[in-house]
Amino acid sequence: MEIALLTKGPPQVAPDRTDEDLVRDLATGSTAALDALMARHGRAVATLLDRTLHDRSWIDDISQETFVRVFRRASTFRPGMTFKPWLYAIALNLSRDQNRRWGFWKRFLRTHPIREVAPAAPDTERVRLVREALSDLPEDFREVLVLCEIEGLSYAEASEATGSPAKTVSSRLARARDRFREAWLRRHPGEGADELR
Amino acid sequence: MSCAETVDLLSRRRDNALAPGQRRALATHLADCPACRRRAQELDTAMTALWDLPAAAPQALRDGVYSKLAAPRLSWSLLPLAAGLLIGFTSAYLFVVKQGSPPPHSRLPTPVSQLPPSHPLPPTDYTLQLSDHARRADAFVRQAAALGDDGATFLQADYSLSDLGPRTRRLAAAPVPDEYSKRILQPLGPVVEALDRRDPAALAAVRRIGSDAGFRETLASYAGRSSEPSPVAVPEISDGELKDFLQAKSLFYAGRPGEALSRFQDFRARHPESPFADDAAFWMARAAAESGDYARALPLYIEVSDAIWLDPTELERLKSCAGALQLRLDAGATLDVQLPGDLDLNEILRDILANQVPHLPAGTITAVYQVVRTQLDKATLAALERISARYPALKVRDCGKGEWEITVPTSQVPKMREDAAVAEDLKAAEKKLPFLFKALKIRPSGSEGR
Repeated sequence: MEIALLTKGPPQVAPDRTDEDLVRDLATGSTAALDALMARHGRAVATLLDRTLHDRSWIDDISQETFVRVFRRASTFRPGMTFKPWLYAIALNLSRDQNRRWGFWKRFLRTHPIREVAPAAPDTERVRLVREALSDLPEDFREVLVLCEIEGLSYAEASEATGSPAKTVSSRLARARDRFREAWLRRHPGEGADELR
Repeated sequence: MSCAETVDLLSRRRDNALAPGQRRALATHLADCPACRRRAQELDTAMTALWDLPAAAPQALRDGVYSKLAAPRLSWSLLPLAAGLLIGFTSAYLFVVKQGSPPPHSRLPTPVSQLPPSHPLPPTDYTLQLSDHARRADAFVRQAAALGDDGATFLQADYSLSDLGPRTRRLAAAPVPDEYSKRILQPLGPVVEALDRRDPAALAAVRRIGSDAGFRETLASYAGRSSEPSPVAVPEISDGELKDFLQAKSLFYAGRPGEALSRFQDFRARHPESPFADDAAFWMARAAAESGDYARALPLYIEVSDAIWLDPTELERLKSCAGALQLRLDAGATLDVQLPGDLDLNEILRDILANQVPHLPAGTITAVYQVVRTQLDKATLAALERISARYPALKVRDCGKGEWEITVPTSQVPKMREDAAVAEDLKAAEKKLPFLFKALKIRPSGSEGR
């Protein structure tokens, strides 16, 4: 967040530097730029991962890894690219990799309890049900749903982030919304929409 | 149109991506088909539920990233960074050894009160403004405590969207950021961070905020000084009220200003006495402006301009609304605008600016419609007077003390540009006063930065 950024000590960046400016600064090794990008997008990345990772105890680790890669791959960021989809693409790739390893980790942790996997704060019943409904969706459906519905990316941006064509994103999003609607209704059949407008 | 097709169209509707024809087709189909109508309602309900998922906050992101960067793959290009980190860690270690357990922020910025008044800004106004934000934050904190997990969720959601309020953030991005951030944001930052961590000391400190003095005292106390807590009246907010407000705001941030507008309207109808009523009006104005509904935005802005301090970005937006309306009026349009008194937008704007603009140092107004008060050199004045002779609607008035008031007839400027008799003068004036005609480029709705 920007206020936090201003408290990190001497290295600061001008608030009018765009994300794209900052990622170009990263290529020269600017940690101030990295700080600023983390301050601006740290929460969004963690929130995205919160929705896409099977095991939410990895959110912190994958968030960190995302920004490590942002720093290391800054030189591959070409003029004309937009930062946010690029960032989300990195986070989503890491999330997919982690989800692939998830089955292994689940089995491993059952026999080797090496780290606490309990979530920091217990969810309310409603939040738990929303998470369950979301986890009913295939990974690619979850991704577009979170990117477009929650993060507000356009179809073109979500297409960059997921690596699928924009047309696919749009139709996948429609199906994802409908699947989530069904999944939510199964868990919350009593919730009509009458109170809405 | 078949029912199967509505799945796609309903989804596109949520993204404001329907073509006019599709919109009409969908509306017709929904009017005739109860099953699809139900599906549409269920979709909205399900998406609302999805929005209820709390935002996540990464723990120790910065530390984690830097230790990962410094640890495994040390290359020559990373050496300066690694050296910097090493020095950083070393000094932190020394600090711990020398001081015992360090305070949560061992490098606190200078408190507001100790900063030199190096700029002729009226800091009190900002301080009061932030005190206001902090008071709202306090209300959120209290509410969060009362609501348990849900409260924490809302608190987090609001911070993640807006830190201590979007106006604070926009102020930071405004042309006064250095002084502003030095004096206000830096000292406030640790409090905000600590609030994010739910630090009891910070929560207690923020609860003490009630006035300008209280705000300073709080910052000072958080910096490790003792101070007596002063009582403060915090507005009571009901659960539903807070939820309604934040959901409406979320819709705005999700790029759905139209829906946000109606939600805020509902909010005001449902909670007329809410301490957030002014904020709701402000957000309605903002959402209306964002939707391009200037006729609706302007009266709302005027309504809130007394109650809420409008930052430079917001003033610019307000002026865009007025300018757009004026242009339509100049073009002979009839507008259904409910404005107080006569429809003299210049007069209304002048009033608002007189109240709001003294906060701004000269030069921060980058885009001004209609009426500009500025200093003029002789050549520019002569150029403007020559334009005025040909276009009497452009007025230049001497306000004394070297200041001139220039009234620009927005609708005539394109004509002036094409008029060879004044084009040179216009160019000359524009060279000296680049902002004078700049704002005439009305940005289409939705293209304004969020």
